[in-house]
Amino acid sequence: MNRPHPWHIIGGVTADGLSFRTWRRGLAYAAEDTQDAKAKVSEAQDDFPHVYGLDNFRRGDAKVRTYILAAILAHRDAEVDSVRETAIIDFGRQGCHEQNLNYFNDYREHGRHLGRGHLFVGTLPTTPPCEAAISLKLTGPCFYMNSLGRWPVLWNEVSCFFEMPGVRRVMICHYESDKLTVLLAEPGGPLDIPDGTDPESLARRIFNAD
Amino acid sequence: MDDRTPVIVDCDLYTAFGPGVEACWNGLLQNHAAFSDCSRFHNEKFSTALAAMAPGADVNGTQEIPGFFLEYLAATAKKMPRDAELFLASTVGEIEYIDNPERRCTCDMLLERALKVCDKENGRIVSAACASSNSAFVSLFRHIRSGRLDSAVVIGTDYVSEFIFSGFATLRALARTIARPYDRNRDGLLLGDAASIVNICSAKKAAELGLKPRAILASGGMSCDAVHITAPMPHGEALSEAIVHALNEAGLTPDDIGAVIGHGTGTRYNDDMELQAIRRVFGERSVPMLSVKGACGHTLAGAGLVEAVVGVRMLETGLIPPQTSLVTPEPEAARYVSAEIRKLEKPRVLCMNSGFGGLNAVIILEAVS
Repeated sequence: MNRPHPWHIIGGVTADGLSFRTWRRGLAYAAEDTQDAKAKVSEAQDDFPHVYGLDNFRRGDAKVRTYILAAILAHRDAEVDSVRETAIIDFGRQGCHEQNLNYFNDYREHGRHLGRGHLFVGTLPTTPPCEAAISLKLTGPCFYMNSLGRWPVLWNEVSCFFEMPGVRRVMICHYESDKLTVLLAEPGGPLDIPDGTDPESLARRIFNAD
Repeated sequence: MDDRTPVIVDCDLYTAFGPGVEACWNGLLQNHAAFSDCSRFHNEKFSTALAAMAPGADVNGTQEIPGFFLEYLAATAKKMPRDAELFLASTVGEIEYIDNPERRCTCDMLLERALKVCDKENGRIVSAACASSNSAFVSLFRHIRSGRLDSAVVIGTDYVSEFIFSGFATLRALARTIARPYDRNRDGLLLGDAASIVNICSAKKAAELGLKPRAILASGGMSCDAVHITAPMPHGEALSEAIVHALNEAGLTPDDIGAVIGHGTGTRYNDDMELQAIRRVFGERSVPMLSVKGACGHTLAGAGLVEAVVGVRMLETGLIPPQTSLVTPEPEAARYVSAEIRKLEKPRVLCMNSGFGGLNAVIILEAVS
């Protein structure tokens, strides 16, 4: 039997490729490329109390860019400013296999001499959430976790974060098959989460979105 | 100690000093550095060929090393029940056979293999760059304290591969001479192999299983610099926050800490940042400090586990190993580090790691009284 969780979801977004859908406000943005997505997210911030700078993506790949944009839109959806004391849990089963191949193939094709630093740094699964943390100045705990799809592990980890001193909010990220869901959680609850519930279906249920 | 106090009941290591905790512990006490020329790949294009390689690990080729390490750790893992949760601390470098599409390993495959070899039902990968081990410990500490878990096996392995070596060379982080953490003339890090394991359970579960606690996992804290993807926060503010969280969690003050095992990679930026974070928290106190990376290299995701095992031995013996390869301490480090063996005056060791992404994770180990 799962315990009810002492937190609730205040907003979030799902990015399916370059199509973004926010869960609380039900807004949708479709972009042709990440520059177009950046422009649309910048535009979406017009009536937002805190506008996040999107000058550059610090050489991040498409995944990094999506995390940064989705993190901003999740705050926009919840209509909250980012707070430093935000923890990040990044959950999924893909690890960084694609990025490992990108780095190593590039290194090999260039004569096995020196690789490219930004591709090497991208071989960590924590690079995308950390880039989002840098963009929004989120200084709480942050790590990536894979539990072979056992969803209660994710939800218990969120509860675990809220037991840590100083954590006021948790940003939950789930990346699978080029689809990223970012949810923001704050203390509250109780929140019952049935077995088998992933972040997108939780958002769908909470915000009655079908 | 109460029923839900997390206790370490067993541990093991395989490092460049060879198999077993004592091989590494004695190497540290004897001030040995276990580096040699790495011949696992063509190294002539890199600024150094030195690395700390585990003897006997690559007898069947580099790509078999992760499997070899897992097999080694399995004996200790199997001392815990099958339902103990497996925490695999990893940079998720599923990089063995990266040259061979038919045998490449994915993140899922990595965890599935670890579960099978260690004979465990459930597990999770915890990845936070070079702070992966300590992040796993901090998470586990919480789960045991809250009663969500009562036993776990924490393992971490990493090895010197062309993939990792070339990456750190690209970032110009490798030492041209030797790794000298906290030394004025340090010029970078050297990589190392390690396989490490720590079995942890609640005090109540340890009693039920008839396992004797060797040390207490007293607390932990984490933070993120949120400043730069590779460079640490110059003044160590976020790391010091993680240290303060860990101290507060355990109801301790800096005066209660007997020694600090730092991340101490030997790069200028990392060591400077750490020293400033320690100064920020400990003020004028001269808490003894050391880094094991001067002896057995930077073992990446496994680094925190190696340090935790060394911390357990420090608590059990009351000794602090010398700082390997220390010649002239960095002025800011002079009050903390020593080339001599010292006595551990207080029964708590603080271990800290920092990784790319600005990730910081700190744990405090305490002697069993």
